[in-house]
Amino acid sequence: MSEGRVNDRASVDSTILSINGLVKRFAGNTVINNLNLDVQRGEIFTLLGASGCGKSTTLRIIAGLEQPDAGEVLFEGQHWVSVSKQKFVPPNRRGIGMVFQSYAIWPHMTVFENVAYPLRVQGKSTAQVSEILKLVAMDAYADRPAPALSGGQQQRVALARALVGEPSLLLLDEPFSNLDVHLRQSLRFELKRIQRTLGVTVILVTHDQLDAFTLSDRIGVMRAGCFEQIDNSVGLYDNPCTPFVRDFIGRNITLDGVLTKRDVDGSVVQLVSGGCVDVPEDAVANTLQAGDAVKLSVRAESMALSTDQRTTGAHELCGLIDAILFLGDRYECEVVLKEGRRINVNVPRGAQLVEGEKVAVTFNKEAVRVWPA
Amino acid sequence: MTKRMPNGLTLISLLVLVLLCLFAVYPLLLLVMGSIREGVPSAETAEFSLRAWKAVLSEPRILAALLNTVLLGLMYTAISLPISVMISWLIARTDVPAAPWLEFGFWVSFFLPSLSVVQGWILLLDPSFGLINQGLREMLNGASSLGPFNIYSFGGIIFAHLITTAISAKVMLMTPVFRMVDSSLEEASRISGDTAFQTVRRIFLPIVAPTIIVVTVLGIIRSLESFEIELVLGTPPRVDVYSTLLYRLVQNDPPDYSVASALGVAIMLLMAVLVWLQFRAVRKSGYQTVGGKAQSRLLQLGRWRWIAFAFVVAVLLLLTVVPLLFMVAGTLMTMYGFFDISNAWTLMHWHEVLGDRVFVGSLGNTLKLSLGAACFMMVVGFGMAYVVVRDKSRLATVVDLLSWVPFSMPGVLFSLAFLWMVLSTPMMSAFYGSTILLILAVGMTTLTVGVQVIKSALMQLSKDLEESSFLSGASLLQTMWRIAIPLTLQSILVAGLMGFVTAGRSIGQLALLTTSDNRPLAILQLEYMVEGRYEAAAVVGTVVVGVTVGVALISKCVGLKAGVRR
Repeated sequence: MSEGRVNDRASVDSTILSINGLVKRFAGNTVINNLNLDVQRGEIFTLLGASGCGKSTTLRIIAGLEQPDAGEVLFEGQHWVSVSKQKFVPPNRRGIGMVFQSYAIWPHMTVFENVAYPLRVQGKSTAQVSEILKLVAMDAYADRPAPALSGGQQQRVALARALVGEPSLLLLDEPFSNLDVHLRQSLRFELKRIQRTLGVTVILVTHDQLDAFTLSDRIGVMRAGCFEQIDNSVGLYDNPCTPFVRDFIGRNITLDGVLTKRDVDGSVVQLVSGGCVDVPEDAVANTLQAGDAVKLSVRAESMALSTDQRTTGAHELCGLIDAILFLGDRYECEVVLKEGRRINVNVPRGAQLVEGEKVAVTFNKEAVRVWPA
Repeated sequence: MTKRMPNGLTLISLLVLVLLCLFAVYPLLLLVMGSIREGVPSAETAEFSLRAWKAVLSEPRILAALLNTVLLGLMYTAISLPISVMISWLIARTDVPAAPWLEFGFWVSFFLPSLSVVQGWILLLDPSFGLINQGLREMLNGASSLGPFNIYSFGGIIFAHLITTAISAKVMLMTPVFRMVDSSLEEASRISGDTAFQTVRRIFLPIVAPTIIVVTVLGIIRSLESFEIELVLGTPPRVDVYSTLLYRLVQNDPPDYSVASALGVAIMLLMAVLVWLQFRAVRKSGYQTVGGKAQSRLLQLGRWRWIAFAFVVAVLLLLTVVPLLFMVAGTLMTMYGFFDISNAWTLMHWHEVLGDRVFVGSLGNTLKLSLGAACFMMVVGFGMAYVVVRDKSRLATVVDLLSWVPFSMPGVLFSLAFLWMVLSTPMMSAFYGSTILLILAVGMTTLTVGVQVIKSALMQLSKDLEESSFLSGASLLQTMWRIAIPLTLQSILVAGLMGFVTAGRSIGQLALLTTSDNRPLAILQLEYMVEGRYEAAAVVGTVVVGVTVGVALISKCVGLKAGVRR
């Protein structure tokens, strides 16, 4: 596990939320396994992972909707939960804003009533409601009954409701998963703009890498109840620390091979599927020596297909095009390598390829990494 | 966490648990204790004795009553079953006209006060003045002044059950399930060469057999509830069932509480066996008939369509309009059935009854009782449903389990258990004769069903809606009041309405708890009937129908119009 402390914004001044040694079990299954995390003031921190990795449970524990079996959560140095000290601040006393995956817009209220609710239950004036509705561009819909809203509008109302009490922490649980692609894109920009305006600290849970990459200052990739790697987007994409993160982030193709030469000038990997690949020395894991079995990993977008006679020789990785799918802006080709291994490679429009043709697979050497097998 | 933090929900769970223990488990225990001791409930010390149990197992009168209970239940279940299956099939699977209205008719029939329906039929089938008997005697020119039918008989009791709830309850339960059967199963059979009739016999009935079994067992369980029909129709021919016998044992001078309690516990044991059978049947029935969104095409009946319609309408009329019409007619006749006398029609009985202080007091009691029971159902029912659905602790599991205790105690038995509680607990004796006691008795016995209604609404409510309220800073009570209650209001009101209607018509649960101070209309009607004052009883019965079913129908219409904004 690596503690990536890269932060491109100047907000690394203080920790707002700390989680120490968190454990949560459901019916004997450990869902969160000794999780530790510090969230910085003003950042957007994302919990990224596949379903069942414990990211939503972590968020619910931060919100106070679940109680952990061990560990503690501190906010501004004060205990929200501490199992050992038997402390628990109920969710309604934490002053958090949260947007649920389902948005949880109350259907028996109007837009205004929904957003005013947090103020009303605390006996505060509802003067800011119209202001916050303007911020999310829903001021024209204040009197709409909630069931008359579209998905994107519900999302905005949920965001306004979460922000109206001026929380110092905003929790977002898969906020875009129920929206279509175009809406997602525009709402991502909007969320980022609002977050910058208010300077609120955000913890986001998502399984969508694009959400995570576009929004986050830092991302924690979760697996089996703890963090696999915490880093910023670029760091995660270019320098994955574990095979899990390597395969989880982006589209990645791994090919089995043997490291035949290891040298400062450059190393060579002989692939099982045929062909030799020269790789830069810094792309090879430190522990590897010449003769070791390795996995060569390449980002799918760094691959290309070539029908050029000069490159289809014995030193190249060759295969036959089995199927070509038209994806609109590009083609996707399924290529069968020697030994029956199949890989999918993107090909730009205009490429003159036919099914059944023999091709060479080439890749940008800078994008190659060599891992222990 | 090893140690749970105290929170509001735990407090509510505890309150509900205390309520259940106090008003369901405690009376039940007293009943069991009462069956193995001698003496009146208020006695300071009591001797242990097995006399009551020996009596239950050997005394011919008690054994005969138990036999009658079982025999009657089996017989009217056996008769009502084929009729109900056929009607349900017609409504659910064929193109019989106005099917939704026919189904609604059986709902109305189910909710009609049994006593009023029976009263209407008494006026038609009384051996001497019954209109049908008079008409038949005239046609046959018989010399006899009685008969040919006599509703005061074993057969009369069976008939009374058929026209009150034995058919309507089964139709109500079976029709929705029948509708779910995938019609492609039937179509496959038709394509294989079966006739429509063969298809019903070979495909449809085997598919719905589990449902029919469950409904049948449920019907037999409910037959143990019945009380007032047997009391009114069984007294002249001296046909007792266990519930009337139990009533008589307590009303006798001196009352025999021990034997009554032992008889009650024996019935509880029988009930337990039946409930177990029912659970087994439900489990076995699995999900094979309830196939989700199956497509259901209706069978074209052709020229049989209107004949089927006429048949169902005729049954419905016999269950609802006919008895009510003659009951109302009965209120307007000087002497019911005597058309020849001068002044055959009169408003005298209405003046008499409405002017009577007893009636006015009873009307007030019924209104207090009904409104009280409605409030009880809404408040306690919601609290209990909320605990069962939202509290994940063991406490809630116990609550869920205990909530079935009052449900499994037949009305008169519950009445007896409550009587034990009031008479033997010094602090509670002040409640004897109060309406609060009646509200509790009706409320507790109806609670289980009400909780199920609210529970199903709460379970459909996404937890997010409440959690986002907590995160907005609202407490548990604020969240219940502003989110959970408004969103399940329709079901809460339905539960309240059930409480209102049940309280207005219930007799069994109250039979041993009423005094002249807290007597509601339904009990007054029963007393008039037992005294033979049919015209006065008919007036009271008409008012009871108005108060219960009338209110239910009106609120259904109003509820539909106002709706709950969703």
